[in-house]
Amino acid sequence: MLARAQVAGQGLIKVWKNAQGHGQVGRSPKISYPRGVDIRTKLVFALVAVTLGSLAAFGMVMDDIADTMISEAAQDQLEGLAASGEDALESIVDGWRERVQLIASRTQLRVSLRDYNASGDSGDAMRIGRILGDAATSVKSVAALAVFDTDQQLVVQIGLRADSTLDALESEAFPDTPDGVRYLGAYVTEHGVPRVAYSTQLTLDSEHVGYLFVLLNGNRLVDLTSDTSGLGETGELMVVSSDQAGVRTLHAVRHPIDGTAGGESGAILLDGEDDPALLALANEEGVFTEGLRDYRGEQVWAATRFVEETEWGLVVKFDANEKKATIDDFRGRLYTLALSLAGIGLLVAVFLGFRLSKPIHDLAAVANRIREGDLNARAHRTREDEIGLLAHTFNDMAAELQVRMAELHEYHKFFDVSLDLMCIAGTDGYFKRTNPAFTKVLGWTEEQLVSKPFLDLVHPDDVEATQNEIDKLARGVPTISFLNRFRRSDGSWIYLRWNSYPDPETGLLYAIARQIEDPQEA
Amino acid sequence: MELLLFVQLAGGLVYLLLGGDVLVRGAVALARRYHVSPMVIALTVVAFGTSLPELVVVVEAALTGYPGLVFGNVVGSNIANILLVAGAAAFVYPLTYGEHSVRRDSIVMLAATVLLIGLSLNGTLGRVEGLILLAGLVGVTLATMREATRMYRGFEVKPPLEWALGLPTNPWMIALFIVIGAIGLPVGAHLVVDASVEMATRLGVDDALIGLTILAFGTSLPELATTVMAAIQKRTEVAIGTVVGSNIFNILAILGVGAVISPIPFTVSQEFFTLNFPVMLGTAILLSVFVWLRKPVGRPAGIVFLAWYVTYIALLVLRSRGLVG
Repeated sequence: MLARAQVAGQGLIKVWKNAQGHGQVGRSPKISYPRGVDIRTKLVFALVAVTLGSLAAFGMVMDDIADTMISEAAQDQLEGLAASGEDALESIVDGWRERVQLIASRTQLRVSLRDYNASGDSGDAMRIGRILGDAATSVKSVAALAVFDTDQQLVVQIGLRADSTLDALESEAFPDTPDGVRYLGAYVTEHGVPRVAYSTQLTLDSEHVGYLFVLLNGNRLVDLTSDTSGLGETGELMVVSSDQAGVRTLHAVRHPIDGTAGGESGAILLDGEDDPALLALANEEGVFTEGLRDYRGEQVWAATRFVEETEWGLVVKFDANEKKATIDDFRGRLYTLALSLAGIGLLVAVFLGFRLSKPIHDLAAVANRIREGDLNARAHRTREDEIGLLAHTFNDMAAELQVRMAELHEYHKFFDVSLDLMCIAGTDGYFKRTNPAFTKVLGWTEEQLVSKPFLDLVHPDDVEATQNEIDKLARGVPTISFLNRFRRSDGSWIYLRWNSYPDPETGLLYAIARQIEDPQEA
Repeated sequence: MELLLFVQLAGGLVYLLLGGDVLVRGAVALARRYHVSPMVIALTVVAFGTSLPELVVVVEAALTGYPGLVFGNVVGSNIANILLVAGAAAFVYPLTYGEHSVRRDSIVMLAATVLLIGLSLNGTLGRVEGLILLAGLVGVTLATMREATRMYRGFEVKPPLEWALGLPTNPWMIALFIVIGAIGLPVGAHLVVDASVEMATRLGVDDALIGLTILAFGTSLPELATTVMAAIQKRTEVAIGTVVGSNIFNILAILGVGAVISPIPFTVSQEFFTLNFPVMLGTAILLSVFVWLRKPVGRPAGIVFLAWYVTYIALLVLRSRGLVG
């Protein structure tokens, strides 16, 4: 089916006939694949580049926004917690003051004390003791009570051992003025209960009759500082006070650590230089996110308040790491989502690439079938887009090609059945193609004819004239009725009369020859 | 939020697939540039490269401390390969046999399955057991190579048109392919493992269950798609060979590598012996019987396979909810 002829310097030309018997001439059927990257991969790569770029830009912006948003929210939260903590603390302190005033306002107490001052009678002292005992049970949170006379000498005390704190009261603890309740100080018991001490002058009808000292249990302070709701994993509300020993908490802390100065009570000494408690006690109120470390040495974000009446500091703080972890977590989720969505986008790109390249691959396969001789091959035109247009145009081209090939085939029949010798030759002196009549008349096969210079077959006496004729043809002058002698395969000679026309574009000669029995005849 | 986890899982799978594809193409192009023979490329780069997605997922899960995910994924994948992939393809068009080595491969698959169950009998699978599995892998690969060398005369590697077009030739392009693949694979693995672990945490189930179900299904999806697409075009002669080969590779290579690199040995819960191992072994035997008799797997068998898979998954879920003993 496939007859090939190798022609020097002209590559591979093949001649074959397909099922319909059409003869065709074409190039080698080997597909030369493009050396570049396929459409699908290009799409994916382009999308990867766009995605990475968008992710980077998106990430940078969102990073910034997230950072600002979360840290602002955290600062607002700190501010809010500090404000509500301050309100709660002030109401606690007010409550204590009111309790002291409530006890001091007992007329019986002050009358008895005036009587005692006048008489020094132990019966009056016992009456004062009963009144104090009643006050201690009826007023909440009272830990101890003591009454002093105008000479600052103890009259009666309740709830305290002899060696306890009130024994060591200094003279400043005795208020000079009749009005007001004086805050004396606070400490934390070994059970972790803060206690606050107050004193006030007792007067009866503007007459100074003595002093009242009250020690109150600060259970509500414990409730306030141990409530961690809204404070996250690490947050903490702290109330601190300062005395000669240093800055202390008035309660157990949330993250107890070994070696703290608080002992069993859980309250601790705050000796860090960057502790937010120092800011609070220095009356520097606000929210701080930089440079603060708590008692564990952890970096913290803190809000501070100063309570003027008791000179306490209020600190609300979070570990900076917790806030950073929130930001990082948010950032991580954001990137994960963006990356995942981009991945799904890539999948779309791959499908799109397949959809785009599949019909093109199919078209290439159809083109290949046509080149291999199947002129009936047509592309499926399933799409109404540019690729559909390409397929349509391609099919038109193939149909046109089929018509032309049919016409060519018809002419080819004349070539095949002609009694005259027909050939295509080059000015290089070789036949390119010869028709069957050549073989019939001369006895040489087509392969033999095209494989050597035709001058080899021309009678030696005619070679010069033939060469001249070829030179004329090469210059574009047609040959009419040129006569020469050709050698047949059996060695005999025959006369041939030639008409040939040169094609100046290709340099090929189209020639027809007829055998002449007697040269004198023509 | 659960929807977002599925988005993450899907996105991760895409990165795994594309990363694997691009890396393999880069590696094939590189090997071709250095005139490595097509047979060697097919047996090494392509064979191992196409399993890269599973491998990086396993490495990621093992290194981040979720061995249950690894173990569950391998067992679940092997079950899904036979019941789901082969079942769905057989439902579309009967599976036939093209390669003569499938019979021998099915014996290897059975042997690997039995070996895995045997090694797990003491309840753990550690480094030593992993090395035994890898030794098995080396043996199987060497045997395959020897056979391939013997048949080299008739051996023809014909890349699909996409590959003929999609292989880079420019050295920079080759480098780009390899780099993109090398980045895409771990990114995908991270997304997939992260989503799986998160799902297990949210649903309050063991990570092995996620490995057996969602992750195994996810990693079987590409095979499912390609095999079913081939079945639609009535090209089913390689489906069984692919399933069998993938199952062998899962046990010997994926689990072997996972067990060797995992800092903690895999614990094999009782659940595996009462449900998962019997199902894995049962499906392997079932497929081997078909292969041994060279009986095409037709639509009725496909329906049975698929029904079995659905039942198995349902049983797993019900068990995790404590509804079935």
